[in-house]
Amino acid sequence: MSEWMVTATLALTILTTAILVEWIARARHPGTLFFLRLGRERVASDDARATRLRIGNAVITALGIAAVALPLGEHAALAAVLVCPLLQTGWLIAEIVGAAKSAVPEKVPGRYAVLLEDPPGVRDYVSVPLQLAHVLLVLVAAAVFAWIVGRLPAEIPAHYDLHGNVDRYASPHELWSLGAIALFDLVLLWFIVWAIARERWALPEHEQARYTALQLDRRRIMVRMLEWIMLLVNVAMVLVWLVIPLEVLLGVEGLVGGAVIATVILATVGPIVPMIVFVPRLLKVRDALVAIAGTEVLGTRDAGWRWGGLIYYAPEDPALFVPRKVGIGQTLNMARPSAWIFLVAVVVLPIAISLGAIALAQ
Amino acid sequence: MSAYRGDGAVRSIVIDLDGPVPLYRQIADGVRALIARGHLAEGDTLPSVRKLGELLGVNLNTVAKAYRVLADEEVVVLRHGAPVRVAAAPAPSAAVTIDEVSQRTLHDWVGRARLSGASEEAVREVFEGAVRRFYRDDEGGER
Repeated sequence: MSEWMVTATLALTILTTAILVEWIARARHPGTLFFLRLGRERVASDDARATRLRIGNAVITALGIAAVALPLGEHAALAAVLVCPLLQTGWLIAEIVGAAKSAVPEKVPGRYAVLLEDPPGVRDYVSVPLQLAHVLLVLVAAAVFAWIVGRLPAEIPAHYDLHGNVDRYASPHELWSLGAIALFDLVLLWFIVWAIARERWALPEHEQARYTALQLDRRRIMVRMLEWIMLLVNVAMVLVWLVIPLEVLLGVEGLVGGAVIATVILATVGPIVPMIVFVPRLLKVRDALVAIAGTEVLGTRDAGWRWGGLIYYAPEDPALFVPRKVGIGQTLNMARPSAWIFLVAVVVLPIAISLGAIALAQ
Repeated sequence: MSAYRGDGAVRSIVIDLDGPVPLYRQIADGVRALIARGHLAEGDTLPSVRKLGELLGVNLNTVAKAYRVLADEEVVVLRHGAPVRVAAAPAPSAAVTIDEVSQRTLHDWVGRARLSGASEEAVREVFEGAVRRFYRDDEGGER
């Protein structure tokens, strides 16, 4: 892989986070800041907050790209790629928390209706073609890899430095770990869809039919967005998984470099596209739901919403997943022990495994 | 499922977490009203305690208590390991008189309304609304 390709790939990862933060900071949906409902008109201090975030984001991005592009050495470039997205998203989260605290707290009514029958299930939300494509992707990739791996030498390049030189060799079977990540992504997608299907169906006492149709829409849009995001991420994963052994098998130089670039683009820019397509639709549905029921989180406990509505902690509510009060999507009822198990399984475990793998590779 | 597609949901229970009425009584009242209005018939099954607890967002013990109250009134049949079923409800008949406890409940209610300063018209309106609700299903088309 040539030097400029490495630089471009590293810069792209910083730039992608920058684009996402800029998109959220620039959002001008009425009565909202960073897509969260303020419960009041947007005022000058909100715009100042958004401007501050945009300037901070631009400065961090410029410094990060400079650290990658200027000849400061590998460590500076790697540090920039690791630290910049953390700083960009950290700043965004800090501004979101600030905005949530400055929002007028919306009282969630304790009065709602519930239908005495089974709510729609997972099958009412998923797209069969997308799910089939995803399962086929993972299965076919596994089959192709299983075919290739038997024809490879006992040791193949397992790790490259920033200049594209091989700095570690290992058994080709080690690459099954990439397949495991793809499978983990698929299972995670299924779990989130299942969680969306299990969210409580609390209805207002009036306009129940329209509210119901909107809720179905809201959940279908969320599921569709996640299906696309995870599919794009896994296409990227499969690309790397197959290209590394193919380069060795076919003896073609430069395949891996191209695949890495394609992967970085697919895995970073890719998920932003479904967000840009689906988030405006979600916001429209949210506005319509709020117009009917006064809130998007009907059926949750008002006292359970903490930290300006960012955290839900309601021991008396048996729900594990509830709609997010601030922002869009879902959040966990942190009073349920299963919420912590879920967090550990989905956030802590993959990070620990990745760090462990990096440590082993050193 | 059909009701969730928006073609006339009728079998709903309203719950008020902030209201003065205990939750188990709200659930029992809700189920009783559905049966009285003919939205649940004899032999129909009700959601399990766990399911209804999740649907409503209330503790399982609260639902269990509501079902016990309804079983004591012989409105539902509770059998261990079997789904909760709606019991037979007698059709309105001139031969059936209103028991003393129910009469006293109504008298209490009218008395309290009088002391709160409500007019006779207001009391009649609420009473007749309740009669219409359970005997003529006036709200049937609303949901």
